[in-house]
Amino acid sequence: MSELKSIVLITCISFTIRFLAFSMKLREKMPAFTSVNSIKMSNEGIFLQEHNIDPYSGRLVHSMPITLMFEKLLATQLLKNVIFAILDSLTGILLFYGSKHYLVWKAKADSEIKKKFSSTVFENLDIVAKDLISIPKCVILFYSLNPILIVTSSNDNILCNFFYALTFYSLNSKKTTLALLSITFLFLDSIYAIVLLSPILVSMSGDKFKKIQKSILLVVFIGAFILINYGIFGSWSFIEGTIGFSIQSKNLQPNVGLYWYFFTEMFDHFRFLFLSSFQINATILYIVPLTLRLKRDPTILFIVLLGIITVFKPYPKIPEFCIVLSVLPIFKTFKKYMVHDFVVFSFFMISLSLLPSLWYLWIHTGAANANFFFGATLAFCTGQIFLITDVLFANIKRDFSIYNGSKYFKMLLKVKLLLK
Amino acid sequence: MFSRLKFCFLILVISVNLSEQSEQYHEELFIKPLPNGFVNTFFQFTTRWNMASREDLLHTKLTPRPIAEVLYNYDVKELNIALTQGLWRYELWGYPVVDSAPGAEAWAWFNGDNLTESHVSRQWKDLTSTFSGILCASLNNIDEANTVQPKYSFRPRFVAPKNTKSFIKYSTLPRENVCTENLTPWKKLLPCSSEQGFASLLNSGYVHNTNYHSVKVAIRTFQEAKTGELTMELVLSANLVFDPILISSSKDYSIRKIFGQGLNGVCPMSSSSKIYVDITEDKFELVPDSDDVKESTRGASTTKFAIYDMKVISPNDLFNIAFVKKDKQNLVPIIPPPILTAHRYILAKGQEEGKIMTEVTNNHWADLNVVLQENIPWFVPSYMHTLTVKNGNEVLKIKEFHYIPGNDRERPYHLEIAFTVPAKSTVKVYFDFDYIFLKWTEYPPDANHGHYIGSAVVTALLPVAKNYTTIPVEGYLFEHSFNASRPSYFIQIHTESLLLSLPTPDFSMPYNVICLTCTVIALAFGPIHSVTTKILTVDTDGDENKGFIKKVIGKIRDKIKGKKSAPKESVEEKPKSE
Repeated sequence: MSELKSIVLITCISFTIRFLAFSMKLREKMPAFTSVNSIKMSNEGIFLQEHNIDPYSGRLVHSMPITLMFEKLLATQLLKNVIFAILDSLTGILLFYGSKHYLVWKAKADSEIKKKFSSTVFENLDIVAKDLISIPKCVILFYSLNPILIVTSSNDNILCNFFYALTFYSLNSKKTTLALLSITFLFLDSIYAIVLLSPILVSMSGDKFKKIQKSILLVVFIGAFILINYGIFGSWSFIEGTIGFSIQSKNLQPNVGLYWYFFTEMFDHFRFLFLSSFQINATILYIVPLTLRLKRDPTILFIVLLGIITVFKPYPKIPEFCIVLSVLPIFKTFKKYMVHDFVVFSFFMISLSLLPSLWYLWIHTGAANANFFFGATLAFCTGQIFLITDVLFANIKRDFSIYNGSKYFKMLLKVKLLLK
Repeated sequence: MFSRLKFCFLILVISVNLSEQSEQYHEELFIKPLPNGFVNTFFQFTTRWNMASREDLLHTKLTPRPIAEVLYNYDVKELNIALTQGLWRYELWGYPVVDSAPGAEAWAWFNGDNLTESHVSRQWKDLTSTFSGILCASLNNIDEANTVQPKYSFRPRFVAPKNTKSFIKYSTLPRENVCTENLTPWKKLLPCSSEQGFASLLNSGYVHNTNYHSVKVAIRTFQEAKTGELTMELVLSANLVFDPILISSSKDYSIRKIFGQGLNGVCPMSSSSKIYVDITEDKFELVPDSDDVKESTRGASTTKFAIYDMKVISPNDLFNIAFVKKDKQNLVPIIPPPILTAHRYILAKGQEEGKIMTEVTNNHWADLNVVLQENIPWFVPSYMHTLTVKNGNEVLKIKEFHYIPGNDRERPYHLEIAFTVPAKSTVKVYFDFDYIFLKWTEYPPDANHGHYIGSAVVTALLPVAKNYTTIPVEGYLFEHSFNASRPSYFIQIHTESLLLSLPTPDFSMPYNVICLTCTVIALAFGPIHSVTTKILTVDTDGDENKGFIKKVIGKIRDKIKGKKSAPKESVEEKPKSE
């Protein structure tokens, strides 16, 4: 019961902190990092709808009609703060149970491999009984108490994070339909979430026919969801405003991603070429190879794909990457193979502290210029990429040790990747 | 050949005969000493042409050919184009006869059978391009991205036939620099050009010495529905404000001093040629004095004019009027402010978020209903949910609200609101906007100079005609404003245009940025490519120095091979555990 107690405690703390932070409008003080889909934009959307003006005809509104309706229902700011603080705390709980399910499953899977291939003792590679409680606790703590998350997440981010966590949870507890539903929601917010279908299909036990069935189900869900939005809004223009907006990447507002400065400085006649290659890079380029490589562990596949889309999508948001950061404790057993952990940590520390100060210097005092801020965002992206690739390498090295015995692996001074 | 020529000649004679009585040209000059010592000179050249049918537009006499052709080819019924340098100071100078926004301002009404939105848009583009050529101005930069369609602020000055829909297009180019190159082609539209008549006073050297100058082309047409009779009215006006002290280093001035030369007779083509001097204040002695003094009482305020009919006084010789100050004492004038004034400014800290603030002041003792039009360019994304109309701390009700959100590179943000300005108070209208980032090629050559935002337009019906000299809508000559009392007086004033300094990228960086960003993407691509396409094997060869390790590896490998038939250190080749 102590587990339940601590969850309740952490959730209460998380709720209080969030509620206070939202009430103090802390997150509105960081507009550079919540620029797209920020609080102002959804307010504008509600306002325009109230005046019978198509909110998607302008450049400012990119939330779905259903999100706008949801925010409109929460009439007062106080109610909004409460509801979104609760939602964000729920996200932590979902991550907790998701990672718990994962660890149980992983421990079982490992022991089966162990039985088959190696009798050697695993040092620090095993998931021990203690981890089944301590790691999920770490996850919920990381999510609940992450200060960056609290100050940067707008209402839209909170909703998205909730659905990311829901996908994570249902993926690990094998509730495929629920996972598909939450992907449906994410899809309309940013189409890149469609990539996450692949870990869900991989996680399903069953034949191809069933998988195809589920893929069709997702299409049906998305279609139904679009129809619901159409029903609420009464016009198709929201598709251009939501999906079209992230595909075209017209907004050059600085964010922590790679697109804004690149397309600011891009020559117009190359824009289409680079835009399409960037979009392919963010979506379909890595799905097939990574799915083939990580098909035994859909959760890692999920996290790596989520990491990739949050780095490479046109309007990345820090809160999304915070999900990836929060679930990292479940890779505790990889830790000894993660060679870049210090580098990644330094990258994050330096770039996250430089970002706001360089932004301030550039925009408010005029002492720095765009290059400074761009440099910091590049460093942040590089840190994220290092983290993702490090997880990937650590994963295959750990697998290697589990199959072959850690002792054997330990004796090797050097491991090289060679072409097959 | 001869017969053809004769035929042409015949047509020419007929058309000239037809239009002889129907086409009239008037030149007028209105001089008003302003309360703060400046002098306002307003030239108006009016051509009025009654036609039997639309086809007559092809045979022009006094009307410039390009303008007649424009009216013939397009469904435009009213067109106003103004090029202005400087800002009209309402508080010091009162209201001008014709008001216009700083920079270039253009609006047109279209009306015709089966006219659709897309026709109008195309015609508007053609029209502005045509006038870009006629006036040598950058009106060709007017497109959908800076054109709005006002709903409340503008009213047509022609009568549209029943059961037809009229379309309006309005645009401003606040960045437009108005100079000699615009004045010269503008003068060429006059029948006498600048050779004779009042236009000879408009020497570019002197015109561009002014504190404010504005030239305008206004055209409107009326058509009788039954007879098809067409009336066209072309008004070319120039509004100039001089500072006499700057020109003649004394408070006395004369036509010759402010324009560089005396009046060179009248234009022989003109039907009337008159100078009106506002002598209400009676501060100056006019030399020569005029016998013809008229009083005009309009909306409870009386104005006195000295009128010089140049056709009578001096049709051919040089003519000059000197203004000699009667009271040589240096008195500080107390200037009664006009009833309605407006100002606009930007409130911002840094280049992240800002507010556009418009102040509308009512100096009258009664409430005043106004319509405010904001025409915000697409690169200033504005949040209308933050729109606030406040009088002190009291939030005022917005009576009418018309808003079309802008879109990048496509459409400006267009806001029109109607509200009541309480008596003797200043109402503040403000809303938030974001500073946005443009593509590097979209910044003007001097990027850090900033981007202009066109002025707001405040429209109202004034209850009294204090400081008001505008010609009533049914009239076309300046003298039609005499004694033209009405229940209310339509006024349209413009605020300052704003200069917004957007954050800039580093313009020298494109290659660096492209290379660096692509490098970061490659940082992900390389390792993921390796992880997914290669298998993990132990490197057994290539290290000669590490014989021992090699040995150990070999041993272990043998051991494993002997123990289990596990394949070669590859993860991939292991069967799945389930």
